[in-house]
Amino acid sequence: MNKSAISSSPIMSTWGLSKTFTTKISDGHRTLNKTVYAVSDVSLDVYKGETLGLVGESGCGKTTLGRLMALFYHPSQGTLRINGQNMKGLSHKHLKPYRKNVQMVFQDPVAALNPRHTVATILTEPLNIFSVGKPVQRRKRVVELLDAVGLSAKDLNRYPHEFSGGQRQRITIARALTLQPDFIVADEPVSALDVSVQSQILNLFKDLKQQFGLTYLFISHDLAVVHHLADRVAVMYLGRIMEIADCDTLFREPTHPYTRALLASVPALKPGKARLGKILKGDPPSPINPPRGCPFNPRCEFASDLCRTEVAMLRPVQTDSQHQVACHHLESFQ
Amino acid sequence: MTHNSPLSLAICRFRKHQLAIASLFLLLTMILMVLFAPLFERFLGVDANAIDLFNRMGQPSAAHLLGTDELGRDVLARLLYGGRISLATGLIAACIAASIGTVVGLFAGYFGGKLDALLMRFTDGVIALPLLPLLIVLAAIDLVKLGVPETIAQSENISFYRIILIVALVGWTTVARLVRGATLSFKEREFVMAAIGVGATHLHIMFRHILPNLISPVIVAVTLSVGNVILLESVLSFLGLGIQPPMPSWGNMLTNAQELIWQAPLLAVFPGLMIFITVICFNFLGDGLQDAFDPKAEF
Amino acid sequence: MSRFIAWRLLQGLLVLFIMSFVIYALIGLMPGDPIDLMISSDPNMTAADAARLRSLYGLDLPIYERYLNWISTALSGDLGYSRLFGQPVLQALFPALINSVMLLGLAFTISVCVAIPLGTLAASRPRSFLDYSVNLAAFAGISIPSFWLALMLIIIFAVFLGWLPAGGIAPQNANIIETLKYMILPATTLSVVSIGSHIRYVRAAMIEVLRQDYIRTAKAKGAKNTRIIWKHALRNAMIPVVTILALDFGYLFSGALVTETIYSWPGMGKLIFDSVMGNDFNLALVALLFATALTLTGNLLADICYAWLDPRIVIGQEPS
Repeated sequence: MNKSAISSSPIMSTWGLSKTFTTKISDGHRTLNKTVYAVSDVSLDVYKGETLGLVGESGCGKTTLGRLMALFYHPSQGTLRINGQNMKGLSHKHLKPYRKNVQMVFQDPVAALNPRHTVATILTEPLNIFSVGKPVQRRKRVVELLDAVGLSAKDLNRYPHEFSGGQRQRITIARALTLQPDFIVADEPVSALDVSVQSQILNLFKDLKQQFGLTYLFISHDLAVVHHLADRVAVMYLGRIMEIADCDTLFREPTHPYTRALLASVPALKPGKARLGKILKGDPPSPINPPRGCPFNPRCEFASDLCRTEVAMLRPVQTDSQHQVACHHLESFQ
Repeated sequence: MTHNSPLSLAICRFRKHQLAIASLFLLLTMILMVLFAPLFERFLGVDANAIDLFNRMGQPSAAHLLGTDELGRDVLARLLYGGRISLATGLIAACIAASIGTVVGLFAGYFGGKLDALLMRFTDGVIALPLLPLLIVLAAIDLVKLGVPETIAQSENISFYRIILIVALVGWTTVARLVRGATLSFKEREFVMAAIGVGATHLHIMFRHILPNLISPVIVAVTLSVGNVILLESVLSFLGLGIQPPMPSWGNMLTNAQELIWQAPLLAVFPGLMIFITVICFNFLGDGLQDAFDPKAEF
Repeated sequence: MSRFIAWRLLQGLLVLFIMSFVIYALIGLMPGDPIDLMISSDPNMTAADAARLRSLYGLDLPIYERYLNWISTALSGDLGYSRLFGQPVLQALFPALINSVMLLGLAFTISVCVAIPLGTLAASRPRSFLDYSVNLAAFAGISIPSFWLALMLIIIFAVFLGWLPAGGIAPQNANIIETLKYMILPATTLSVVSIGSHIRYVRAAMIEVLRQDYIRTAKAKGAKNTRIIWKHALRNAMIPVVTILALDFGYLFSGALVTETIYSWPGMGKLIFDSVMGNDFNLALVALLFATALTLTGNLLADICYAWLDPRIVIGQEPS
């Protein structure tokens, strides 16, 4: 990807962003309200024109972070800025203008399309809501979009159930593009698809980025997919960012013990230092009872007392300021 | 809709349900007949309101196919006009009740929380009431005391509107629960989130995204409740609390039939038979629609 | 479990309390009031007298004050005097309640004894001729207007055949045959109307149970079909059925209103109807509240049955 196309101004930036949910848990005798720490203290910039990959195991909070950035949730703490504008405290109604800037592509294209709406209804809806152009122009725009995602005008009056999984995902992508957003959050957009279809959709993402000058937050648990698509990659564990770096750097020089372990688990991707990582044992701790200190400490072979008491902040590694790692023992891995 | 919309698939399955098809045709015929009741009157040479005291409680004859009532009026003609009232009451009240229920269910399910708890406890309360005694009290209250102007309270058609209103007031609970349950599951679907993402308002999501997905169960519930409403109307009219004479309804045609049961038992047969046939047809129809919309359910 | 019952009981009491006000207000909206009735029986009364009487009886107070007056006397045990029966309300109410329990008990027994075997048979052979016939009969049952069925039964058995009385209740000292003679028609009417829905509940519950894995396992282990259905499946199908029956029993008290009225059976239903129609406000009020309480009790019983019979329901949790 063309690095020069990436601007230095963040299109989206978060500072200390956290999201907690309350959930009811029954211990057999009574129900208790428990807090789930889905996203904790995430500070992240997404620059115009880049593709930021977000990886992590399921349940690590990457979907929540994506939905926070796509303005579906109100942050519990911290701030979120779109093009420098703070979204804090904006109501459903006042968020509306910003939704033009940020759109989302969902994981499951079956659930993401209303089964009772035709493709025409689905794609004109955003334009109707924002009163973009006249009805004839809206229709023209929709046909252009269908063309851009590899479908055609003859599909307009068909229902979602008449399409294959890959085609449905093309429809949701087209919908995300109707309002001409700058930034698209793609939450595992290919993981529900057949492997043979996945690469077509990934290439579509690449093409559309070129064509419309888009910025992506690309969420995936599939490291190969992220390696293929991303300019930068952030690694998430239990609601926190553990490491963030250029895509090539991260895959060549994984530094955080968790990143190494993650890369070690993928046989095809074992270049460089990944070989240093050991395959993880056990399950990640529950986000209802996150461990004290570094969230990775119960599974980390290098964990010290410091790791068990204090959370490590992201720090740049000496050689590369773009490469940041949240580990107390960063120096010993370099 | 195109040839392969969800609706046309449902129509395909519905056509296999013979009883429901037969019921639909019977109901449509009945509706056409009562709509064109004046034509039938002229064709048969009778008048639903013509009193003939020389020909009271007449047996069926060429002049009066189903005989005459205690005032010498033609029973068939009165059945046709009574059908207008009974069918109209059933259809209108069921639709109003369903609309109330849909709105209550949508709001409770969509917004959840305290509003949901409040609305659903209220619904539970209404469901747990003794229906018939309450309807009787509601039908018996004096509209003038309620503040309705006397001219309206005394008007001829007031009993018709009143019965629709009170039946709708108690009949919305089934649909409300149904719609709430379905709304709860649909609001978690990602297409709702996608709609939020393109700036849709809550009302837009409720009525344009969730409601279309609930149409089929609501239609089934409405169809089934039309039969119930007709039964309730006829009971109240029979007890003298529903549709007031001289306006005929199938229910009030039976009011006098009980007193005349020793002299003219036949008078009691036809109106009740019409109620029975109509209600069973709506029930068959609802059952068939349920199968058509929900192919996974066995029966 | 006890917490669950207490919670539902509290809820029921709240509904009952709200309904007592609603019913009180509705009764006040009925045509005529006690003073009008007094005026009509005394031609010498003037408008000024009427107004004085109104304030004497507190009828010119706002509705909530009148309600508070009524409920405080009612809670102290004084429910007032019935105009129609010429005796205290409770003394008029109890014989009616006993008559209703007798009639409804018989009707309910008939309905359950017919519905359970028929529904189970239909479910055991889905889509067979038998199933269709039972289904058709059930539809007929839920669709038939009860008052018309009553009229037809009277025409056939009282008018044409003359076998049974057209209505009323046997005198106190009549023997059991004579007593039953008066009960057959109303009990049949009531049971026919409820059999339809009961059959459908039993059938649906059975079909649901027969689909479960443990039934398939029993079949695979070679248990006889009839044994599976009548022993294993029926017991589990009874959970929803019992719930529905408990629910229905509460409704029967008020649902029998039409049937009791047509057959002149002096039960609760007829009492409510007569008191409402006869401007007997005290009696109507108490009878309606009583019917509400019975219906609520039926609901409560249904909830308890369901929670008690189905171990999967976690009890003690607030149903939210």
